Amino acid sequence: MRSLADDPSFFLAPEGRRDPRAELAATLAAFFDPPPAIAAAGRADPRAEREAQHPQCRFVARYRWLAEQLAFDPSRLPPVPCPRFEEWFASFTPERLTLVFPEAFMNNPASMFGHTLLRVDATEDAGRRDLLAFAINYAAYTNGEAGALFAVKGIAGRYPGYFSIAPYYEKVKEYGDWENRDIWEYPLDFTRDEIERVLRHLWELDRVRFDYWFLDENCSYQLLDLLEVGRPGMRLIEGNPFYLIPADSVRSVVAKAGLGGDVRWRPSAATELRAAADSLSSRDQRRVLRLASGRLDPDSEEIAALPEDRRAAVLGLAYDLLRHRFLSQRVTRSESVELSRRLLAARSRVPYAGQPAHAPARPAASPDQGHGTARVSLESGFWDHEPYVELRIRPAFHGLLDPQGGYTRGAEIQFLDTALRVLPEESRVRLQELVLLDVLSLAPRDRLFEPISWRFDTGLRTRLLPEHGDRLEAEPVWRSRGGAGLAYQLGPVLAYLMGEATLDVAPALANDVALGPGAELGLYLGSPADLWRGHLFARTTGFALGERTLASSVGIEQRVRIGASSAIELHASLERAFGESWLEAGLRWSRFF
Amino acid sequence: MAPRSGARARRARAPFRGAPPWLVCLASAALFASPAASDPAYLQSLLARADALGLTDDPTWHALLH
Repeated sequence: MRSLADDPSFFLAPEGRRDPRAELAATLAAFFDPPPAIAAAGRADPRAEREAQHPQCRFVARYRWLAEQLAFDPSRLPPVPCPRFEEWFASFTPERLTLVFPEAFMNNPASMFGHTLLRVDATEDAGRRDLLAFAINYAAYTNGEAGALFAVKGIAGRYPGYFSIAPYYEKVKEYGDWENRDIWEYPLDFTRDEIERVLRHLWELDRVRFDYWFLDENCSYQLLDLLEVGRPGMRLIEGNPFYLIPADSVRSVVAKAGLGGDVRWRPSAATELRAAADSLSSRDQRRVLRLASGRLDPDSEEIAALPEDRRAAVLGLAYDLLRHRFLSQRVTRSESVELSRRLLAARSRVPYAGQPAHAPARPAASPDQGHGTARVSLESGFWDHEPYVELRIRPAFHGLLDPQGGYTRGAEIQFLDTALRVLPEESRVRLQELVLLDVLSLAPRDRLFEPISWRFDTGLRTRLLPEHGDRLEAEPVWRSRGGAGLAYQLGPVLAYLMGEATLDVAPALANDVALGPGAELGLYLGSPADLWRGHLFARTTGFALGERTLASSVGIEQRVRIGASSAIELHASLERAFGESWLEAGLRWSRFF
Repeated sequence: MAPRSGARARRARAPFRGAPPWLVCLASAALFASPAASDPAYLQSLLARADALGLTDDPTWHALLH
C-alpha cells in the first residue's frame, strides 16, 4: 500500500505513507497528545495553523472511525473540542452529494477529457438553490502555465495538486460562461452519514499536497478516492493502471455508487445563446449582433418598427450576448456597462411579458451512456492491390466516427492508436501505424461565435515511397501534422476546411525528411439517432522540402453503430503521389470497452 | 479548507475566531483538565484491540490514508 498523498504532514508516522500499521499506531498515540495552547491558534500561516491543531481535530475522520471501532474510553482518552472544525462542518448541512462533469474543453490540454468535481447540496438548497452549494474540486496548481508546457509537466507529475472548496456558481461561471462547456450533474445515492464521512476526510486533506499526474492521479482519480472514504469497498478505481479518464470515472461512479435522482444537464451560456439565436430569422440575428456591438441604437427606428414579440426577443438576446462577452472577458466592464443599461431600458419599454421559447435541446445521451474509451478493431481490406488483415488497438479516447452519444461534438482525441497489419501475400506482419496523439477540434462557427478549428497529430505511419526506379514500397515514417481552419454546421452536415503543415521524417526519404503545406476539405454527416455516420474528405500536401511530391487523397469513411459498444466501418480512398495512383479500402469491426 | 466566500466562511479560516464564548471556555477547560501525558497502558490495549480487529487491513483505514 502506498498513499497517494505526497505531503509528509499528512502522516504521523515517518513511514506512514507506506505502512498502514505504523500510521495507525502513530495516530492512536497522537490522540493522547496534550491539547495545544489556545494562544497557538490564529497563526498567520494557514498551513502552520492546520498542523498546530490537535491530532483529534486535524484527523477528525480517523478519530471518529477509530473511536467507533475501538470504543474509546473518554475517561482515559478525553475527546478534545474542535471548534474550528465544528464550525466549518456546520456550514455544509449536507443533504446530497452530486458528481459534476463539465464536458471537454478542447482549447486547454487540462480539460480536453472533461473534468469532474463534487457538489455538496445543503438541506435547504437541494434541487432549488444548487448554485449556492459548495463545490469540492481537485486541481493542479500551475502558476498560470498552460498549453504544451502544462501537458508535458502534467504528464510528468511536476505540479502539486490540492483539494479546494468554492461556491458552485463560481464553477458554473468558469466552465459554463467562460469556457462554454455544458455541465452534467449526477446526484449520488449517498446517505447523509456517508456524505459526512467524505466531508470529515476533506477537512483532513486541507492544504495537503499531492503530485498531480495528468494521466492517472488526476482530478477524477482523487475524487473517486475521496468517495471511497464515504463508502469503503466500492472499488471505484479498478482496471486500467495507466490512466483514468473523467468519462470513465463517471461511468464507474454511476455503476457502483448508484444515482439518487435524475441526471441534470446544465447548458452553457453559449449553448443557450445559440438556441435563442436559432429561434430568430437571419435578419434579426444580424440586428442582435449590431446591437450587442453598439453599431445599432436600441432606440432606433429599425428596432422600434419590429413587432413587440420580435423586438423583445432581439433586445433580450442582444443583452444576453453582451453579458456573455463581458463574463467571458471579451469586452471590458467600461465598454459594456452603458450599452447594457440602454439595452435593458429599451427592453423594459416593450410591453411584451412573454418569454421566447428557445430552450436548448438536451443531448440524447449523457456521458455515462457513451461508449467505452478503449477500442479494439479487426479489419480486412486491400492497399494498392495487396490484401491485408489488420488488428488495431486504441487505448483512448474518442474518434469523430465513433458513436457520438455522451461525447463532445466535433472533438476527437486518440492516444496510442496502433495497427498491426498482416500481409498474407508476403507472409509477414507490419506495424502499420502507431499514432502517439491525434487531436482534432472542429468547432462550428456561426453568427454569434467564431471559434478556430485545429488539429495536431504525431506518430508512426506507413507511406508508399519510391525505391529502385519507379516502384513504390511501403516504408515507415514519423509524421507530425498541425493545422487550423474553419468549420460550419450546415443542417446535419459539419463542413470544414483546414490549412495544414506536414513533416515526415524517415531514413527512406530523400535527405531523411519531407516537409510541406497542405489543405483538407471535409464533411461529416449522420443520421439523427447516430446509427450511421459518414465522412467525405479531400486532402493534398505539397511536400516541397526533402522528398518532393504532391500527395493527394480523396475518400469516404462511414460507420454503422451496432448497439452501444460495437460498430462496423467501411472506408475507401483514392491516393496519389510520385505520379502513381492506388486504391485503399477496408471493412472494420470495432468493439468499445 | 475554508469556503471562499461569505462571512461565515471567513470566520471559519481562524480557529476560535467567531466561535461562541461557551465553546472557547469549554476548549480552555479541556486544555487544562486533560492529562499532560499519554496513557501508555491504555494505548497498548487500543493497539492490541486494533490488531485483533484487523483494522490496518480494513478498506476504511486504507481509504482514510488516501
